[in-house]
Amino acid sequence: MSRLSIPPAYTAASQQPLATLPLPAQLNLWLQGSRCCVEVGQRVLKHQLLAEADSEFGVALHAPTSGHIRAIGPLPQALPDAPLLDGLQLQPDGQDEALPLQADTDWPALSPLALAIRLQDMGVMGQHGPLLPLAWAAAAPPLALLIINAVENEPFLQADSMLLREQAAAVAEAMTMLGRILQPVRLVLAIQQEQGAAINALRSLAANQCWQLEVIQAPYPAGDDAPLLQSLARPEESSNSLCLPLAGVYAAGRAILHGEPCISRIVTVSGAVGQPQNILALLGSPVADLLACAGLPSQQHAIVHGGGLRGFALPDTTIGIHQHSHCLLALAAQAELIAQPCVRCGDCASICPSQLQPQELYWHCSEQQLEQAQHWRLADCSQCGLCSAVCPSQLPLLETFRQTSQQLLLAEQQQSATDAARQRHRFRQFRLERDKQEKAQRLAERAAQQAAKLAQQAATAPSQSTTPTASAADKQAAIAAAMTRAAQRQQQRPDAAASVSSSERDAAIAANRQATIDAAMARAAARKAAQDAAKAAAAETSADSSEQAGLNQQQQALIQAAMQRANAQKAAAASNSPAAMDEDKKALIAAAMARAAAQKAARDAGEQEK
Amino acid sequence: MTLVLRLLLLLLAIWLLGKILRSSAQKLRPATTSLPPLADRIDALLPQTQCGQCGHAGCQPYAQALARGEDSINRCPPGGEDGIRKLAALLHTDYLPFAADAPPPKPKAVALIDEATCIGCTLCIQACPVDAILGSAKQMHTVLADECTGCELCLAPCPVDCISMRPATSQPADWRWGYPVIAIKAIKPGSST
Amino acid sequence: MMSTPLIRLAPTLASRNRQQLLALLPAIAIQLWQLGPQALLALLLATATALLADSLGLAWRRQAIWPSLRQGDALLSAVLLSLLLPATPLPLLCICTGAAILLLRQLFGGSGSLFHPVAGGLLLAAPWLPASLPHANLPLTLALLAGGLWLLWRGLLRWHAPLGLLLVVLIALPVGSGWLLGQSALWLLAGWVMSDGSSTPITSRGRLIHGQAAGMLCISVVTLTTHPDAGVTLAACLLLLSASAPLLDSLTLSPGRRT
Repeated sequence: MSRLSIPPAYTAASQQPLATLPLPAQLNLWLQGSRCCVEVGQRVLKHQLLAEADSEFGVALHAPTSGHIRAIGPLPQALPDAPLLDGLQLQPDGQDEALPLQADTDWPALSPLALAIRLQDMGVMGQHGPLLPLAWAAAAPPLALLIINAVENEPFLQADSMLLREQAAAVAEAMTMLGRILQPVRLVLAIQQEQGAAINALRSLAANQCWQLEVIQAPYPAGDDAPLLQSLARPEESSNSLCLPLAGVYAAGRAILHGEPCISRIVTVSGAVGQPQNILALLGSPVADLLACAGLPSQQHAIVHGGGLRGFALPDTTIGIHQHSHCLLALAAQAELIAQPCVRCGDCASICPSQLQPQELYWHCSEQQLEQAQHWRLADCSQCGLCSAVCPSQLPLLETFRQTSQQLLLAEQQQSATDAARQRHRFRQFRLERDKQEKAQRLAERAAQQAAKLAQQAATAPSQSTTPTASAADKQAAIAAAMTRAAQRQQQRPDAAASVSSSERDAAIAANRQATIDAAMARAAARKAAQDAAKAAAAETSADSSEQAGLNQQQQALIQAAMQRANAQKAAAASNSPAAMDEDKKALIAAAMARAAAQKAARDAGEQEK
Repeated sequence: MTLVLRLLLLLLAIWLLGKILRSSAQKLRPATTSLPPLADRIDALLPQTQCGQCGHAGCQPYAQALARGEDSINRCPPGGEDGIRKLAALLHTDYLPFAADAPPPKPKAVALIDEATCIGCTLCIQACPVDAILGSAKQMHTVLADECTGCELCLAPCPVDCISMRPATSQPADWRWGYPVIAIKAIKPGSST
Repeated sequence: MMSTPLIRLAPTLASRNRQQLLALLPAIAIQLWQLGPQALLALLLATATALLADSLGLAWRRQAIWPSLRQGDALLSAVLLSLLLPATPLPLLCICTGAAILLLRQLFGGSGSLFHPVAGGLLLAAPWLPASLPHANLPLTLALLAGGLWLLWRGLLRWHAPLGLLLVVLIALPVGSGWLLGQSALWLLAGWVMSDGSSTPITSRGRLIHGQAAGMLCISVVTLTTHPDAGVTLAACLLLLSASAPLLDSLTLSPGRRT
């Protein structure tokens, strides 16, 4: 298998000392996952908090220098296609007046979660969001292997090598700190064979430390987390390992040990510039300043952000750098490429680090055959861009794969939303059905109880002198209640026709309800007395068929009454209009009448039986 | 005699061939029993907005009607033309353009309640087919935008017309590093070098 | 908008073709020295016909002419054909070149064509070729070998199919296939036609099988029949096997293991 070789990293930049960017005239900061907590026109000091994290995926932002906030709003950002995202423009005043730094003296006592939150507050970023994912830190699983990834993740990049060379002691300090708090079984610093100068310095540092040095021999995509984990983690470690980028680890060390928030990063500026070099720049520094610092020749150039294989061209050089700006390349503008048809050379397949067949994948992706694309393992594509870089026909393989992956992701999201909607709809139907059944059951139970009581009452009615009194009392109570309500309504009506405040109406409804409740309680008391008296006789009474028929009638009448009552109550509760109240009253009266009729029927039945 | 023998042999061969064909047909028949019922498979393709624009009380009744062959596949505007194609493929029928009397497809939208106007009548809550509206009597209601299917069933019952449909777009704030990004064209504020 | 990637790790189609032409320079020089101005005329005429035919085909397919012409596929094919058909009459060479480019290249989709125009052109010219066995042309063979080795060293030779062919020829030495090694047409086809991507299978295994099958077919035909010309026979075998390349692809390609 002929494996095309990757040209050795572009070494010109690493031979230069680390340069520091002079203070730019303006900083264009990106509010990535953060909520601004300063105002336009406000003067801020260096290290002052500008924005706090808005979710577990965001990080805080601190002022890289002292100055005035000029604008807060959508700004083009250093991302593919330079989208307009929330940003903040800071105009430095040149005084660089800083807030005093407060180092965390009791850092060894920090828990992993406390550390993760502290790093988020200090604006220390990892691959996706905060350096230590909060969800991971909260779960605090045992950590078998912690990899500090110092492998450059693109050819041309030297930012990590430069950091190791310049700040080896600080990096070692930071790793010791992480080792103390996160307690990994094994702590490994992964560096590349090409970073030769740094290796020796690090070996001497690593001698009596809690971490080991691993030199990675593999070519380009080795700097990604997945291949790094694959090559360094033992099988039993692979499920609970964590991979952290070197720049983030260094910033974490500064943040925890010295209290200094993350406000700058090292950027490799290379390509067709006068002097390729690594530049330490404040976050938000315009790309143009960095290029000017490295000496950009005057002719037209394409400015590429993020490396030659996975990077993207920036349309504008006033865009500020962010935490993931490893690299800026100035490339001589090329003529528009016209892709030739695939010549089936197979070079893409032989160079693919994931052992995919990019030519087949490209065919299916460009034909929008998502299922076939999945069959040819689009999901395993790490989007390293090697296939595009070797394709003799210059087909846009990487772009197609990116686009199709995004389509698949969207389709997946849509499918899950559809499934959720279906489930919610089904549950709603189930809930409505269940409520209906429960209500019917409740009503039936209540009706059965009442019917049983009435039957007892009826059975004992002739022998008990209290019964008529009781039912009379019941009736009277109901009539009294109805009359009370009617009186209340009468009083209310003139007001209600005009504008009645809702509180008054509420009070009226409450009084109405109270009256109902009182009446019901009176009824219940009367029934209870009757029931108690009838208890002995009831045991002996046997129900015959005529009584059954009577009971059935009673039951139906009761259910009707209960339903009417329920309706009336619902109407009363749901509406405030006087008309509805009228209906309410009518319904209640009807209910009371129905009740009375039912009782009468029961009594009649009892008498007939006698 | 030989003619009779030949005829017999021929009949025997035909019978044998028939036997073989039948047994192989039984063996090679696709396992239809393992598939879920047709109505469920249709339901899986429908967009589950439960909007009732097809004239049925939800996606499932429409799916059942389709499975019985009582309705045509071009009555689901939220599913779009893509949805019709999928239904046509599943039901082995031809693609049909949208029914002339069906409402035209719209981009996905999400209901938004104007909280100042809402009187808390709960009518929209009762209308929502996916329980995506929160609130109680006399309390302000709100729509769970993530759960809203954009069915517009809550618009009609609202007595104060405080619900409006907003296009459901992904916000730039949804962008996270490392995820594919939806291209937004930048307006060049300055000149490039 | 500039497309990714922004750096290239392998030569483009155009530069590949340019280097393959460069590797042919010693062979061209030998032929000029052997045949004189007639070879130069043949070379120029073939080139002109090929470019014209390619432009015609592109115009007919409504493709951009210049970007495709610039890749140099047609040029390479013309040079190869003029080297393979040194002593043929010029009109025949032109007709064969033009027809090969139009029928086998443009009709099958340009540079991604499944059939190599050189093999096709050679086959088209076959009926008019002299029936006698062409004698071994050692200087030309050596020049071609040198060019091929240079390509191999530059990493531009897809060596699987040629290796398969050579292996079969070496194994078949006892049958009497040794004279094939002296034929410059064999080396030309092996180094410049069989190493082409579009007319061979995609996988290395497929290419190895392709080369072996071509070798076996060719040796069987040459030894079992009286047809003496190894070049034409191999060209026919290659066309046949190109047609079966998709089959070999479907047999040897798999999505790979899932991770």
